[in-house]
Amino acid sequence: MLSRAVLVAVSLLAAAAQAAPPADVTVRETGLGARYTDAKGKSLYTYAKDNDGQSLCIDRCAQTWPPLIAGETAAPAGDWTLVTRPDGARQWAFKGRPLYTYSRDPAPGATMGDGIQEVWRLALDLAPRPKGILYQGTLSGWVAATSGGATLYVRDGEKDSSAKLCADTCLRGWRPAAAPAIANPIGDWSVVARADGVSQWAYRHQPVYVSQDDTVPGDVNADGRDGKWHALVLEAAPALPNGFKLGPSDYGPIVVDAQGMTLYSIPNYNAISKTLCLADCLNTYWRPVPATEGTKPSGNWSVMKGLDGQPQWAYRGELLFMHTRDKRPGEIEGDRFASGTGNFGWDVIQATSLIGRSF
Amino acid sequence: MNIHLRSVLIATCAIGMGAGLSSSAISASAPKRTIGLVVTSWFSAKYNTPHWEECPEGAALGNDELWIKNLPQAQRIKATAGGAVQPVDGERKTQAVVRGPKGEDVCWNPEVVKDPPMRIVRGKTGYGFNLDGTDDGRATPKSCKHDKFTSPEGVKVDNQLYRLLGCILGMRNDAYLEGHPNQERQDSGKGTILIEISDVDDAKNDDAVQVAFYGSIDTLPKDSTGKILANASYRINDNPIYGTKARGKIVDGVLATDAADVRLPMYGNNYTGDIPLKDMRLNLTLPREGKPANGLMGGYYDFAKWWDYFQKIEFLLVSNQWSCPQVYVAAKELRDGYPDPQTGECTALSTAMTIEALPAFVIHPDKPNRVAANDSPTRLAAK
Repeated sequence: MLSRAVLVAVSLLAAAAQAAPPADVTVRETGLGARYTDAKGKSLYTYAKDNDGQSLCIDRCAQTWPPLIAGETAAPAGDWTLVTRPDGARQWAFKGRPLYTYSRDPAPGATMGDGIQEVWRLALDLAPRPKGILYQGTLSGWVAATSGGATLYVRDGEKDSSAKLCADTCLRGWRPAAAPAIANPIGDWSVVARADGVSQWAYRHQPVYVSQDDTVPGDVNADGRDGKWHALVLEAAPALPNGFKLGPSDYGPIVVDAQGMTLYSIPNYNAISKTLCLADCLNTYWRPVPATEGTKPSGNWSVMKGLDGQPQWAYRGELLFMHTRDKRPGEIEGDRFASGTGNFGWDVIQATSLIGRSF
Repeated sequence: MNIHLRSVLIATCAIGMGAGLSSSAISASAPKRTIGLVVTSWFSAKYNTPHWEECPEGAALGNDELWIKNLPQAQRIKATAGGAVQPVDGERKTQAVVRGPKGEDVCWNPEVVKDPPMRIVRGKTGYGFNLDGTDDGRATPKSCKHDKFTSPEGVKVDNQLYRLLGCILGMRNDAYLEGHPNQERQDSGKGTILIEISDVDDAKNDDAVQVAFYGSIDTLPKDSTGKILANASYRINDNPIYGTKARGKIVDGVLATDAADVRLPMYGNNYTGDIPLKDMRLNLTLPREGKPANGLMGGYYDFAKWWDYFQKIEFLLVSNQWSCPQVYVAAKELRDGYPDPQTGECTALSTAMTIEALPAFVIHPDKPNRVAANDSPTRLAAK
């Protein structure tokens, strides 16, 4: 009798913990797990320095990281609790962690705050996964990778139950993502015993592979290979804004405009590069990427006021420019312009660059 | 015949590393062939003597030398810790470069200070091509008045980039700025140049071939000793700026191209980009008797493009010793090719580079690859 009572009590507690999120929070189920946003779709974050039940982000910090304030009638439920801020306002917390938005996130889907100062993290409830699997942020979204950072790929139509897995000539340029011999399935991840004796990870029953064309973490060089290999994207990033696309370059795919001309961003222009590219230099070599009226931000892409006061496209909060010496698609004359001894100036936006934190 | 299609139908490098090739090896009715090469190393062509005879004024001054010289006495003592030279990574590295009157970076604003004239090559010997066709370097419609070098073979040649950079410590043969980027290219596969010689009837003597230049997306495979392997496959880079072509001929196994404007991929010293060479010439001894192809490539390097590269390696200037304002002023004076129609000022610098290349399969991914596994360049050469 006693044990049954304990079981019932545990079940009730579990049900309470899994209570539906409050109305101020939206949950999106992705391959990463449950991702939490505010009612407008802006990403929510946690702050590693917060103590349980107390927010340490106040004053100026709270201007940059607005707390997710609960409505007057809000009541805690399960993992969702309320903390009282120094000004008396009540702030939502998940599993004891107060929640915030990031003021520089321009649009729903933006995740610019993730990883800042290594203490701000996206609020998410990670789905169970093997220890050897890493999630990496790229332009295309969150991509699964080996612990060494090699992107994982799946092949259209292949299942762990397929009579014949990719082998022999099919494996040219590919390697099964090996699981430890004693690995157990966990969450969406299972283990396939290959005919060649290798234990291979599978995601949602699709065996996963790594490509020999990828050399550094973040590379997705084999995505789309033969029309049937695809990087394992667990949460896709919002699409590029209209008029932007990926084009070829010496860096591999980079973001270009509709005519194929390279786009550049510069981190922290005002603080770093004023001594490197003064006003004449700016006017001579750089042309803002104008945002037309009615342009809407998308994910990490936003519209900001340019140095000339006109609306200008920005990526992750950095104004976008085109270089006046680029005359043809594929040219990257402006890359690392105004790089000095302590910074690397203007950058192209590579499809394969790692963005934010890997975890 | 379409070069892409032909290269995959044949994709057979007629040149072998392991075997010599005679014209009799190919019958008169043999189909035209394609020779693929991967450039495994290249260096700017400099005639450096062991005791710097070509630099009678000595090595070019370093940016930090000029910086320290112009500091007030008190600051100089402080900056040098009482006279001792600071380590490269100290204040010297970050401060010396922003020595403009308003703290400007002098590599990105090279005209804000006036340095003494640069020490450049004064020797008479150099490597290169006679790009302007003159023996005296007089002005022509395609060139500005300049001094010529004489090659070790006694030919008048043009190589103003060597004249400019030949006395910079870090740019001497075997110095960091030459050796390091070459090693980076070999290790990373970035900036790899592919050469595809097509329309080849006879790999030893052929009076009309076509030569195309591409970038590659593949790394250079090596054996267990670190030696780059011959006969490997390289897929071309899909960047549309590459693929430029030149006409040429092969005489006694030496390829010589006509002048053509080409673009070559470039990687090194943390720079990713390309080298545009106008009026490019290539003189290449094709692989024979187990030796790789080797030769000289030259042409006019667009000044603005070259300066763009030079600015972007600013972070190396303390350890390799040059002054951006000095180099900028001297380079402008030494420009010898392609006068601007409006100003008459030349816009390019003559240059040359030594290159070494191995036989390779050049793969065009947009076409089906029908190369049989046993059709290696070496095997075909032996047929």
